Amino acid sequence: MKLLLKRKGRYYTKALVPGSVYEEPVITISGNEYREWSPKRSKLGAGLRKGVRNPVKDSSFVLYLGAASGTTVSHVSDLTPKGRVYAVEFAPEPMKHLVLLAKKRANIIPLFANANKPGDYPVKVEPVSVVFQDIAQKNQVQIFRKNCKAYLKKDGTGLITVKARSIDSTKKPSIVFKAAEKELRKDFKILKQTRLEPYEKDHKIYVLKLK
Amino acid sequence: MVSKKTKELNKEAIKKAIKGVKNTYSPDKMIIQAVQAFKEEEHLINVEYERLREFYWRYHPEALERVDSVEELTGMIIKGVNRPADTMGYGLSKEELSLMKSYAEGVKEHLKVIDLLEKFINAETIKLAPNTSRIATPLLTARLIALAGGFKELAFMPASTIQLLGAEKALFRHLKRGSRPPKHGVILSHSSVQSAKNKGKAARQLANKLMINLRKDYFGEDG
Ligand SMILES: C[S@@+](CC[C@H](N)C(=O)[O-])C[C@H]1O[C@@H](n2cnc3c(N)ncnc32)[C@H](O)[C@@H]1O
Repeated sequence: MKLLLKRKGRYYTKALVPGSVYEEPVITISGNEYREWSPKRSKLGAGLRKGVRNPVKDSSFVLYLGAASGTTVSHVSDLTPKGRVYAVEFAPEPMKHLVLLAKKRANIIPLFANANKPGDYPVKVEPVSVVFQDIAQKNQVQIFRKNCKAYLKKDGTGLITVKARSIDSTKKPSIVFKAAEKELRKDFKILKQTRLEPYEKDHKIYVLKLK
Repeated sequence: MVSKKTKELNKEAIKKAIKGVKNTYSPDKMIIQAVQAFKEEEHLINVEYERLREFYWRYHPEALERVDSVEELTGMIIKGVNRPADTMGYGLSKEELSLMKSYAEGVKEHLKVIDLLEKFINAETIKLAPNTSRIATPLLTARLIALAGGFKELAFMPASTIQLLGAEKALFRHLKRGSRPPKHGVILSHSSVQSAKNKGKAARQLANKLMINLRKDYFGEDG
């Protein structure tokens, strides 16, 4: 049974535990539940629609930075039933949602911590094959690089979404993206990059490999 | 399918996350909720007051000319007042009258709640930020805390940011489209700004004073 499905242009993940997580539609295919992956609620979901390939295998370890209440994390959790997803979030109210989700999904490791201090995570994080970041902060690229340095395997994949307005709301998005790319290229090769329109305004997602 | 090791790690991480989250309590969290609730109740009561006037207009239009507060109107409806013999109001049935009264009782409950909210905000904000409350009033202080997203966040803000809290939309328009920059946010409601000829200057002075007193309050020195 496939973990990720594409039907009529929409993506679905095979539900690790039954039921919808954020009121997304669920369909059943030969007795298996599949949850629709919303491109509007999830930037990775939007990325898939724009041609990004799913980097998560059924036993991948994933480090997810900026988990919020777990909308996207829930799909990543579906994709790695034999692996695990370390989900970092530093705001307490979303973290409560994430804990409730992790109680139902044993492959989610909720880390209530600041992603800017990857050395201080509350449990030991093992090397991962995917680092995904969605945090919309001024210094987000720097945070991403630190985490990849600490935890991403040499042949692993990095994915980062960049929100131009969060980095500098006075500059044109294209200029902000250029600067972010320059910083990313210090450590990474950019394999793929795309804007997230029409799902998100002035956002880009990058797929990266360590140099 | 999830491995045993992962399951154990999941349990351990959940335990730590619960503990960590619990430890983030601070009184400003409930003050912020109370400020939002206050704003919502205010709006709700306005809407309900208009509805209640419409109800009562059907029954006793002559009396409404003299009624100009929601407290007064709910009181009248709940107590019941006599109508003049030549009223234009309809002769309503028992059911119709009792509906109007029940609605008025509901509105009265909202008035009680908003009163409680205000008392809570005043008392808690004075405890949290006595010096700032003295200058800005507790309610304005609480609104600033809510706009900043927390007491700590507010205490670390430069005066220029405090001055513009609540004017984010205008500020964004200014940055984006070059419209005139805003001079003041919610602190405009303060009497020292209201009464000033030069509102921009008064807002700046007030924001400076607030910043100094917020830091006193946050770092716990007496005023
Ligand atoms: C845009 S939301 C993420 C949405 C989420 N990725 C999803 O698709 O479901 C960004 C989140 O990152 C969190 N965040 C921002 N900076 C962070 C940091 N330094 N460490 C941990 N979390 C952070 C914010 O609290 C917020 O919940």
